Amino acid sequence: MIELTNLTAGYGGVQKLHIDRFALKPSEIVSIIGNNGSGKSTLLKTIDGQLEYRGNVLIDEKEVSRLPAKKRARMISFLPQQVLPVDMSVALLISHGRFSFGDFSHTLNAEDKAAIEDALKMVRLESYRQKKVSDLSGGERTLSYLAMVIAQKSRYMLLDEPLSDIDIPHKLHICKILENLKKSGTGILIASHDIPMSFSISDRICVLDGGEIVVCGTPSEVAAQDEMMKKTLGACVRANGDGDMLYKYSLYARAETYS
Amino acid sequence: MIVGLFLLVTAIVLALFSSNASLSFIDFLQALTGREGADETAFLILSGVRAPRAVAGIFCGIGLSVAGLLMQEALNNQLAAPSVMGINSGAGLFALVGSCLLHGSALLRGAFSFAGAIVSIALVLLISVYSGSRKSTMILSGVAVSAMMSAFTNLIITLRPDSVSDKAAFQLGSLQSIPMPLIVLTTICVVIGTFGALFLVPGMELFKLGDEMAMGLGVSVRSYRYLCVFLAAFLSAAAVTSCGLISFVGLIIPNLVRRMETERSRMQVLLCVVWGGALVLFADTLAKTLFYPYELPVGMILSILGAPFFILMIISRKKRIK
Repeated sequence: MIELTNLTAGYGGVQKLHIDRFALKPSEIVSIIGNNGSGKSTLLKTIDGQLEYRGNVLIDEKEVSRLPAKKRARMISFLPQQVLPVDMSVALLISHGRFSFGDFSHTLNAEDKAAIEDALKMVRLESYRQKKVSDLSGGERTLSYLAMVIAQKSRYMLLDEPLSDIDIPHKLHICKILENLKKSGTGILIASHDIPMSFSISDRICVLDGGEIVVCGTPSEVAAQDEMMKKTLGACVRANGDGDMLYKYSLYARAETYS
Repeated sequence: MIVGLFLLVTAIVLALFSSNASLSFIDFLQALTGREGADETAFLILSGVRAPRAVAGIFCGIGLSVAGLLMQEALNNQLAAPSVMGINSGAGLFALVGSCLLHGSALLRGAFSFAGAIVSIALVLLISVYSGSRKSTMILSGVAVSAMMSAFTNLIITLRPDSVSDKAAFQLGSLQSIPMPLIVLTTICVVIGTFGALFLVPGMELFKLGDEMAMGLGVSVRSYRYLCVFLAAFLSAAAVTSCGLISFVGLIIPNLVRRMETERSRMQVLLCVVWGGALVLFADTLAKTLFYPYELPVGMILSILGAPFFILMIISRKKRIK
């Protein structure tokens, strides 16, 4: 389990994040939603051990700041918001997911090759392995980077805006992959602006405002808090009623919000 | 790789056996095979002058090109090179101090230039640490340290103009009359550094994905980057100790190698080894023979040939992007 207690963190001495308590369990999808600058990416980077912090960030009872980089990467994977159109093949990109398992020689063993193949199959990019990442569309690029973090085979996954700037078919494909990962025991923390989709796929939703978690609960519990949602996000969330719909929730914003 | 190896072997053959006014290719070949009646002078030239010079040329080329590749990959900048990061100017200043002010030998000059290169990069890293360890800050620090070292070099030259007359070869880069201990030092350091680079480059491939992604994949980005830059400084220090301030190899060879159809950075290091060694050796053979009996500094030849080639490479790249 990932556990945060009395956490303050930020950049260059400015403490942007103040979180009293937060936890992510294996086999759980939690979405962090909030407006720009609310601290979503800061939270993910702090959990991944990339920023200095005060308080505790425990991954399976081990303080993240004390974990060596490779050991940390075997426990927790991180997909940042910006995925670069690098000039390398999809196969090579995905193989980088196995870096933390490599010894001094950094050669791929049978286990690494199996993990890469599994990841390629999961994202359905088997026929893309020799294609350059720079030649892929936005959705395909996100999928190839997602395959790389899947190949990491970590118990927890931190995804920063994995659903932004991509079309509906790719979004649905990614959501299906996340569902499968959850079923296989992975704990997934997503920072997202796609509020209806976050509500549709998550077990819990946490709303971040000004670096603080203002509410955390099941999608229906959070959707019921109209006033808080209007105040923090400028919109309300409503259940669509039809349980079979992929978008189980919709976003409602009144015109006066913008006046 | 095969083309590179062929060029390297050709460069070695030309460097060892190219004839001059008094001795022919056959004389050198007979001296090498040790056949009866072989010219003793040819054997002495071959073993005492040409072979050590060829070894120095090859390892200087390897050191500078692998150093350039390490810097460019670590800093994600294709313009990063030992000369840009202040290593050459630091080595130049210290070499000048060692040989002119302290009236030292070529050996002392070599030791001083090695120390100068290390001091320069230590300064760059120190400034970078205090200013937030960003890639851009590291390059800017290199430019600042380079300017400072060059200014001190010019100060010494202005105050002691007589001191620089016989140091032009070192400032321009030359493989002429390098003491044997320096060639041995360069060879050992370049071999160690190149093996180090082969172990470091798989992690450096991850820098291309951005620092946040690399950290997420298990690279300790800051310390890894410092280690790469320091290893690059070590390699270029080893090279400039023998061959002087050759500046173009560390820029041109990594950029050339990157255009070859290979993704794996370990293969890129090996390509740098082959192409870097071949380039410096070819340039040295040209420097020796072009205006025989006069000899040009190899650094001058490299700049004359390297600059247009580099411009052509930039133009063809732009066309490819279009």
